[in-house]
Formats: sequence, C-alpha cells, structure tokens
Amino acid sequence: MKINGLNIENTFAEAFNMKASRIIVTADNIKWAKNASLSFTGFATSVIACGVEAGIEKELKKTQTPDGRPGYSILLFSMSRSQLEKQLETRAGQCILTCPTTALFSGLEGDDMIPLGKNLKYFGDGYQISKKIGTRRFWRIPVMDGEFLCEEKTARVPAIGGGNFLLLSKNRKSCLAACEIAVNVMSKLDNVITPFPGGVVRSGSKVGSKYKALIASTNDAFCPSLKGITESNLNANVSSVMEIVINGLSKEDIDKAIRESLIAISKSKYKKDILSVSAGNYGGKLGQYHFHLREILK
Amino acid sequence: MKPLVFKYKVNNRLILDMSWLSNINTSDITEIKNKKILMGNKTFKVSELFQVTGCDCNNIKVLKSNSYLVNIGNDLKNKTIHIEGDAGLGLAKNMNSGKIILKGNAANVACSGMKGGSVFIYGNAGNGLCSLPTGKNEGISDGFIYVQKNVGKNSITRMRRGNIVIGGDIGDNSCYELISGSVTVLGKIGKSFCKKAKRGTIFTRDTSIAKDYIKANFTDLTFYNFYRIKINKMINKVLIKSRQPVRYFGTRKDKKLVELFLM
Repeated sequence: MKINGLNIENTFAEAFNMKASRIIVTADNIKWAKNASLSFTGFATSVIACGVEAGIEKELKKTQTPDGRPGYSILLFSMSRSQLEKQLETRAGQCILTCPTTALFSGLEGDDMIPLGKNLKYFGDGYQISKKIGTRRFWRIPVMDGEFLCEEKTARVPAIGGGNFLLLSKNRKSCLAACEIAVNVMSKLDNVITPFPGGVVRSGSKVGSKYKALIASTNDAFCPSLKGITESNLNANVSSVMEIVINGLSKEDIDKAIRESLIAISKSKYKKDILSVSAGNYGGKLGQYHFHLREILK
Repeated sequence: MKPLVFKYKVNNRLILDMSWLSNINTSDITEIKNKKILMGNKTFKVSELFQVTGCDCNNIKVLKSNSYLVNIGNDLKNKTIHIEGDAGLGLAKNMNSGKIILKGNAANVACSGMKGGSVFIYGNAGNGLCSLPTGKNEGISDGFIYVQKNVGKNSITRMRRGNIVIGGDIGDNSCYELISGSVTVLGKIGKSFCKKAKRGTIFTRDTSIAKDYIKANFTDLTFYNFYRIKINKMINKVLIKSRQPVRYFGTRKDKKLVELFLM
C-alpha cells in the first residue's frame, strides 16, 4: 500500500491498556509554566524504568486555563494506579510546587479520583487554606513567592500506551526530519503525547535478552548495523530506523495521530528517502490493542 | 421531558408547607395531582391548589409563588426547582444537592443548614440567611448561594464551607462565628460583621471593616483571580470586576486566620 508514494507495510503496532491522568500547570507567564512542565515530564519516557510516561499535551492560552494565566496540559500514563498516584504526587511536589508562580489543576473529570494536592497541602504546616468551589476542592499552600494553588484531586481514566510506527529510511537525516514532521503534527492533536525525547525513539526494543537480568534488549531485526549478521527486517537500502511511540486516551485518538502524521510525512520532501513505514509488535500476543497501519490509512 | 410545572391558583393568606415538592419521585401526573397536602387545618389535593402540567420530576417549576409557600426545596436532592414569584420561610432549608432558581424575594431563614447544591435568588433575601437550623450547629456546611440584591440581618451563622455571593448589602450581625468558606458582599456591610470568626475569606468593597484586619504587605493574586473567574462563570455575569484588590490577612484583635480582599 502506498500513500502519496510512501510505502506502508502490512503490519500493526501493538499497544497496551494503561491508566492516564491529565493535569494543567499555569504560571504568571508561559516561560515559567514551561519550566515547571518540562521538569514534571522529565525522565518519564517509559514505564519500564521511569514509573510513568508523561508529556506535554498542548500549550493553553489564558482563556483556556482555570485561573486565567497561560499554561500547559500534561498527560501521564502508567500501568498501575499506585504508580500513577505515586509519580503524580512526587513530581507535583518536586517540580511544580517548587517552581515560582505556578498553580496546578486537574484536567480531567471522572469518577475515579486520585490525589493531586491532597497530601501536598501538609507542606503548608497548618497555614494551608482549603477552598471548595462546586464539587472541587482546592488548596492554597503558602510559599515564599506567595501561594501555591493546587486542586485536591484529579481523575484517572483508562487509556492506551504504546501505539507506534517505524520509519525505515535511506539516511538518518531524512529519517529524523520526517519524524520531526510527525511529532509536530501530533503535538497539535488533543489527547495524545509522544513521551520520548523530542517524541522520537532510536532504541526500539524486543522482549528478552541473552542476559538473564534484562527484560528487554535492542531490536536487532531493525538495527541497520546488524543487517549482515542477524535475521533482519531491513532491506539493503535501509540505513536508519526511528520509532515514534504514541500514548493516547482512546484508540481513536491514536488512530488519528498515526493517520495524520503519516499523511504529513507522505506530503513532505523527505518521503523520497523513507523506504517504508513499519510498526513494532510482539506477534500480537501481548498487547490488547492492534493498530493496523493499512486499515488506519484506508 | 417537559418540566413538572405547579402554577399556584389560590389567593389566600394561609401558609402552605411545600416540603413535599422535594420528595416527588414519580412522573405519573395523576398521582401527583391526587397527592394530599395540608393547608391551614384542611387537607387538599395538589390539583386543588395548583394547576399541574409536565412530567419531569427532577426539573420542577413553581409559578405564581408567593411568600406563603414555605419550605420550598427543603432537604432537596438532585432536583432543579425554578420559582417565579417570592418564596416563603425556609427556602432551601437543609438542601443537599441540586439547584434552586428564585426569580423573586426569599423570606427569612433561607438556605438554613444547607449542605450542598446551589441557590440563585434574583431578588432580596430576608433575615437569617444561612442561619442555624434547629438542632444543628452550622448555618451552612457547603454549597453555593447567590443573592442578587440585599440580605437581612443575622445572616450566615457558623458557616463551615461553601461560597456565598451577595450583590447588594448585608445586615447587622452577619457572618457570626465564621469557620471557613468564602463570602462576597458587593454592597455595604452592617454592624458587627464577622464577630468571633476563626477562618474564612471575605471579598468586599466596603472599606469600613478593613480596620479590624492586618494588611498583607504582599498580595499574590493567583487565588483571587481564579476565584473571580470561577464565580463570574457560575453566575454567568462579570460581577467581580476588580483585578487588583488589597489583601488583608488575620484579625488584629486575636490573630485569627480570616482573609479579606478589599476590591
């Protein structure tokens, strides 16, 4: 199958059930909202070692935030409720509470609520002030630059993590440029994040390793440098492969992200160097969701 | 579904207890019409006092209401009641959740013992708004109240939490023993306001009460602006306009953590 000349392999990405939450970080100006958000989403690329996968979903204008200041919405994904709770509170406490002028709000509504500022309030040492507006409770924690305003709880919702596709390219420069186009398209979409650095992964992994201690190791079938000595999935012309991992709140969100980003690549000048688009899976036995590239692009 | 409408068709001076309105759980209009209620020392069918139409028991309208209809929205849970005309004593008494919209004046002791939900009074409220209900120790423990015009004296006693916005004046001896919560008064404040208060936040334009509070040298307006946006949104009107209020925190006399925003 070809989309505007871009070859799409007949394969699928395998993704997993996850739990997600959304928070809104605001500050006096966008610079400090960004500082807090980048700090919060740092070291949150993969649940394998980071506890959560997190990323900035989008920038919010003054009119889109609860306190009329600029900010960012952030999505967090985790395999377990306890990890999500723990990481959310730890990161909020260390990265947002500490950052000048910031405030923190829930960005989701739902029945399953997890603590956001519920325990951070104790930092106020008795001077914290509770405010309940409607059904939502907020905490005002006195800090050295004034007050840290924080919502007590945020919602936890079912989500999907691990949607992906691989770009197989003639050279690294075009591969990276095409990935940047895709990430740029996805950054404009709601309900999805690309948790890896700049949205792109170069170290795709397979399950298992020759070393017993490791649960995952390099995906040798997609490593161009191993083409001659391993059972490779790459043809002779491929010299660079990069992956984009997508986490989203629903299957439709990830479908849309894959479709729109691949169409954008197919319309770019780099498509001539992209030999094909593939996807990462584990034979379809592990993940609950399968994203068939050709079906998505039909 | 069409709202359940009760149009009052009696013109006398007998008090009618409307508590039954909160307990309607049927959409069977015949059953509602035949329900027996007490007025004075006589029992009447609902249809003898009201013209009843509609079927949605969670969305109720009371038309041609007057101050003899008491206890409207008593113990209300998850229903919306629109009232056109005045409401008698005990409007939204012990209300749990839901919404009451009154296009008229509320008599004394409205919202007494309110525990949740929201009440919009597009008129005046009498004395003792959010006063202590019988056998309880808190005048309001949660919920949102908006009074477009003035509120009488002895209002808001022992408020635990919630948000009250008053577009006009408030009478004497109000906000007595304030425990927490937020009160906005856009008009004048009567004598002995906020006596024996422990905590809570007051938003006002009346500078006369500022002398009792300690002026905060630094004012972080994050919460204020957040609150302003929220309240204006809830009322659907730009009621709180000031973006640069002066903040006071703590009472001069006994250093209680009462906060005052002078708008």
